Amino acid sequence: MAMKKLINRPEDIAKELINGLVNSHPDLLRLAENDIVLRARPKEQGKVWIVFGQGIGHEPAFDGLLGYGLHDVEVPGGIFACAGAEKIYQGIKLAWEFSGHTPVLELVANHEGDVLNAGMAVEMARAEDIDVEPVILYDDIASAPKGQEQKRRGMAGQLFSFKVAGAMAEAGKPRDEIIRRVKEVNNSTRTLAVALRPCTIPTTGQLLFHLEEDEIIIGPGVHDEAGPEGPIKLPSANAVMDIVAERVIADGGYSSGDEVLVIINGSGSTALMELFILYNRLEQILKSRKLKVHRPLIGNYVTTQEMAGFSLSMCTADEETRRYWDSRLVTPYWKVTGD
Amino acid sequence: MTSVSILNRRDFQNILALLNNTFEEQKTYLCSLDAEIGDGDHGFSMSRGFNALAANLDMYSTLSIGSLLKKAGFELINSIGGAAGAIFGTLFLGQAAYYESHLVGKEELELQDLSGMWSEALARIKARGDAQPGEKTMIDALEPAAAALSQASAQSLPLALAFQNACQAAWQGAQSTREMQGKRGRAKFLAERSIGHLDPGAMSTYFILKTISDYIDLQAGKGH
Repeated sequence: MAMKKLINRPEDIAKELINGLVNSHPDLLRLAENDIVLRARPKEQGKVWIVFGQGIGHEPAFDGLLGYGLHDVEVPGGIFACAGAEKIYQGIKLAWEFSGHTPVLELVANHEGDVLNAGMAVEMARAEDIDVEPVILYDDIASAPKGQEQKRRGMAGQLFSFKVAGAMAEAGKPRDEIIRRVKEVNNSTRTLAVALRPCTIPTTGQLLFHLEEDEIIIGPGVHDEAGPEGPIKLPSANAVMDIVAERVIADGGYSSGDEVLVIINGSGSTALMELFILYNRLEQILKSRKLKVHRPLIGNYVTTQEMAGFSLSMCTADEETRRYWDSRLVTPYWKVTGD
Repeated sequence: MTSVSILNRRDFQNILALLNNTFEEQKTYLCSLDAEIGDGDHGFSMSRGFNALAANLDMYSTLSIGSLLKKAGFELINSIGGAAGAIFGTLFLGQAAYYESHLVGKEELELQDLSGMWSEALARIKARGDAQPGEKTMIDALEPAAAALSQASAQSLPLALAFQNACQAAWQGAQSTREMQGKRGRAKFLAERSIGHLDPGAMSTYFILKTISDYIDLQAGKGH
C-alpha cells in the first residue's frame, strides 16, 4: 500500500500520535493508563467531569481540544474507529475517581461504533455504581432527513455542545442542568459538509471516493464517506456557500432575528484563505436573512486527514448559551480568552 | 467417519487460534468489500483483533469455556475497536453469558448447549445495536445461522451436520445482503448506492462459522 503520508507503520499511528501530542503540551496534557489523555491540571473535585471517546485521525479534534473549558478525559481509539468499550469504561472510571465521585458526563458522537462502545462502557461503569450519563450528539443534515434528526451523524457542529458543556462544568453547574442545555444546543445544531478531494485512509492507503478536478460532493462524512449524493461541478465559492447555507438554514428553521453561532470547519487541507472567502459570503447571506451571527469559529478543527473541503455548522444561541460560548477556554488547539 | 458430538475447552482454544488464520487469509478480501460501502479497514480490524487474541491464548489455557469466551470477547472489543469490535466482541461475550447462566462447570458442550449460546449471542447483538435483519449487517448472516443450529438441535442432528447447515445458512444470509440497502453504520449514508455490495460484517460472520464447521469436520475425519 503506497501512500504519501509521514507515518511509520500504520499500526503505530495511534501510539505515536498520542505521544507526540501529549509530550509537546506538558503544560496542558498528560497521559494516563492505556494512552487515555487527561488534563495536566485537573478540574477541581466536585465539578462535573466530561469524558469523550472517539477515533483518532480528526486532529485537533478532540484529543487536541482537551482542557480547561472543554472535556477532561479523552479516550482515543484507532484511526476513524472508536475505542473499545473497556477503554471508554476506564476513562469514565478515571473521571469518577478524580472528580471525587461527582456525576460524570459522557459525550458520544453519533456514529455506530461510538454509540455501541459507549453504551457498553456506561453499562460496565454503572455495574460498579459509577454515576455516568451519556449524551449523544448529532448534527449532519446529509445523513438523515428532517424529522429523523436522531439518526444524523456527529460532525463539527458537536463543538457547540462541547463548548457549552465544558463551560457549564467549569462554572460548577450540576450535570442535569448541563445535559438539559447541551441537548437544547444539539437539537438546534445543523451541519453540512462539502468535499473537493478525498483523503487517503492511513490504515489502508485507500481513497474512498474519486472526484474529477472540477467536481465536488455535498454531504460527505468526517471519515471520508462519500455520502448519498453524486458529484456536482464545482461552482464558485459564493455559489457553494449559497447552496450549503440555504440547506443548513432551511433545515435548522432559523428565522429572522435569531442569534446564531457559526462554525466554518476546514476538513484538513483547505486553506484558511478559502474559509474566509466562504465566511465573507456567509455573512452576506445571514445579513440578508436578518440572522445575527455571534463570534464565528473558523479553522481546521474536526478534520478528515488531508481531505479538501469544509463544513458549515450553525445553532441558535440565547444569551446564556452565548455567554458559555464566549467563556475562557484553554486547550492545545482552541483557545478563547474569555474577554 | 467418527461422529463428533461435543466441543471441549481445548476445541474452543483451537478454534480461536484458527480464526486468526482465517482472518489473516481473508483480510484483503474483507477490506475490498468494506472499501465499497464502509471505510475499507474491516479486514485489517478483524485480523488485528484475532491476532491479538491468538497471541494471548496460552495465558487462557486454564480458564473454563465461559471465561475463555469472555476473555476473547473483551480482547476483540479492545483490539478491533469501533462498531465491529463491539459487535464481534458481543458475539463471544453473549456465548460466555449463556455459558455462565446455563452451563457453569460443564466441560463438554453438546449441540443443544452451543445452539443456546449462539442464540443468546444473536439476541445480545440485536439488543446492543437495536438492530434487525434486513439492515445489511452481520445479523443477516448470524440470525439464519443461529436458527439452523436451533433446528438441528431440535432434530438431534450430528454436530458436524448442524454446523455445516449453519455455515450454509450464514453464506446465504451474507449473499442476501448484496441486494439490501444499508441501514446501519457507514453504509447507511450511501443509501441506495449501498445496494449491489456485500456487507463485510456478514461475510466475517460466515467465515467464523466456516472455520468452526471445518474444524469439526476435520475432527470427525480424525476421530475425535
